[in-house]
Amino acid sequence: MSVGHPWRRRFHVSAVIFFGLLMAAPFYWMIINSFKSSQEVAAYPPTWWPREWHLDNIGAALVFLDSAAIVNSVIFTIAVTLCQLILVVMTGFALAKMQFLGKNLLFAMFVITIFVPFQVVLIPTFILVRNLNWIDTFWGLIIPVVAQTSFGVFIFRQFYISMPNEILDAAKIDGANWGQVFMQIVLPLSGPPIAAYTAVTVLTAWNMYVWPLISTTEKSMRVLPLAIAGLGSQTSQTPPNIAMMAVLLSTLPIIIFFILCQRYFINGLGGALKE
Amino acid sequence: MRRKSNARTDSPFWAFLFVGPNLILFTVFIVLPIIAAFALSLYDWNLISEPRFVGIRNYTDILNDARALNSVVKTVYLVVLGVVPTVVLSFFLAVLINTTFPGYSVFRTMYLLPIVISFVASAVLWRFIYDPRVGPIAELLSAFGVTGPNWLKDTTWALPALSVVIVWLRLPLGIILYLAALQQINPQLMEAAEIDGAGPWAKLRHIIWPNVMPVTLLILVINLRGIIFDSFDVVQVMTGGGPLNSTDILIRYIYDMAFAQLRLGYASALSTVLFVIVAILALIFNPPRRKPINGDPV
Repeated sequence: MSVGHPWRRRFHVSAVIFFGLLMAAPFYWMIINSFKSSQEVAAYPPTWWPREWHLDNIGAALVFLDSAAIVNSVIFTIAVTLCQLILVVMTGFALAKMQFLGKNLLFAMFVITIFVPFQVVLIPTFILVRNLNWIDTFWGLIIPVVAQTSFGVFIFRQFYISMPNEILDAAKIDGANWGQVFMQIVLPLSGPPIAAYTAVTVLTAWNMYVWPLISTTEKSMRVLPLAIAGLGSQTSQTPPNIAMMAVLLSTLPIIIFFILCQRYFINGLGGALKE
Repeated sequence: MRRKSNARTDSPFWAFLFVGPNLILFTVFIVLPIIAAFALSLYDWNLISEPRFVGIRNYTDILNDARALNSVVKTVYLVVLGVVPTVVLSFFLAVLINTTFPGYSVFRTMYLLPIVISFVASAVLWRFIYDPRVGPIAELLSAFGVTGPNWLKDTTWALPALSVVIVWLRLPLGIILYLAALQQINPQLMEAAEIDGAGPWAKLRHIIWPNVMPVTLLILVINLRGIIFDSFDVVQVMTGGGPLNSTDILIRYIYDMAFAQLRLGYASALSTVLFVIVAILALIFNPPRRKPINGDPV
């Protein structure tokens, strides 16, 4: 599609721009409305550009979101990503390069469970967490999500399968044990899949809603999506401009993260095809 | 070259150190709950009294439950309204943006942006966009002299309105997967076709489409599964299943049964049935070989 008549080319570029703007339009609506005054946001007809930019909406939205939700979301996202990464990298490596009893059975278990959505185990997991007295604790919030490692194990196993044995053998002949081989040789070569997996996991964890909804009841344990969901309810008293600002603020960190790491996202998501 | 390390078994110490923690967590929080989910579906339990074994009665009850049957219909409707446009649009948009020009990356980012916003945040945002008075859709329609319905309060329009949001949220992943596939098509193939005088349509039909067919099946399955299981957030926040249960899809009904009505056994039976149906559909469309995304990234 690269060559063609100039007019066709111009039409193509215009179409790319048009549909791009259309996809981004809801974000535009969110941004302009989060800076309007309470009167302007409720006035008919709606304005397509704020008459005045009310920066004080930021403060009001932050009060609404409350610092606990922000802190909880940061803790939740970092903990889930880090723990899951450690588990999937090590398991993936072991399944690819180590020889031990039950290896194939273990791999089969991970692959099969990839196809089981979390929602299917939601009820038993809730009962389990409740019996452990983990409701309204970070343990209950984090551990069941960390345990969803099937996909990551599969991805990293595929990555390490393609790593040449010669690299590892050379070190092992020099007397290095598996721990040293892993830390000194394998990890430094694992940058790209780790970056891709981190990008996708951070996104998933930051936006997770159902499990936090079920595993927490107290306001002090809320994560951002729970705080945000309250804005959507019929009974919400929050003015729309503050609600839009809250949505914007809760999404902004991940938008910046996405723009900075876009390459890794695309590798992480598109990479499922290659192998 | 010696390949010693492949021939023998490694010391169980290292294997356990690498695999053990994951294996324990995975067994407790994934494998056992999968088994428990099925076991629970054979019981009647409200979390407070003693669980009572009822055999397959929870399953037979589904057939007499009008609300369950309604939510099956709504789920099928949402799948049709959601999966088909997602696959078709992500194909065309990926073909469209598989190009480059100065400033291109800014516009490509716009196509991918919906992947970053949480389902919940976008539900709050779209509720406002669908506002019948001050929303942009109503305003644009009125410019053409059309008075739109109150989208989310209208039993006819609520589900299609939700499906627009869901498609918007799901397009980026489809576009990314299609782009990855498009970039693997041999450019010489395209050049040869052009030399032979093939126009854009002929290239689309005879080169691009056959080459991305396997990805299409993958995208189909990811979205089928995603829409059935992951639409809870959007529906719950935007309509709560209403008006008059017109958007009460199965996953929301299951949630309601389990965590509002505390009919845990019955809810487990429903989710077992749902899972079996989705698994069968997934096997039909995409025989296992490679793997869709875990619980989907979005």
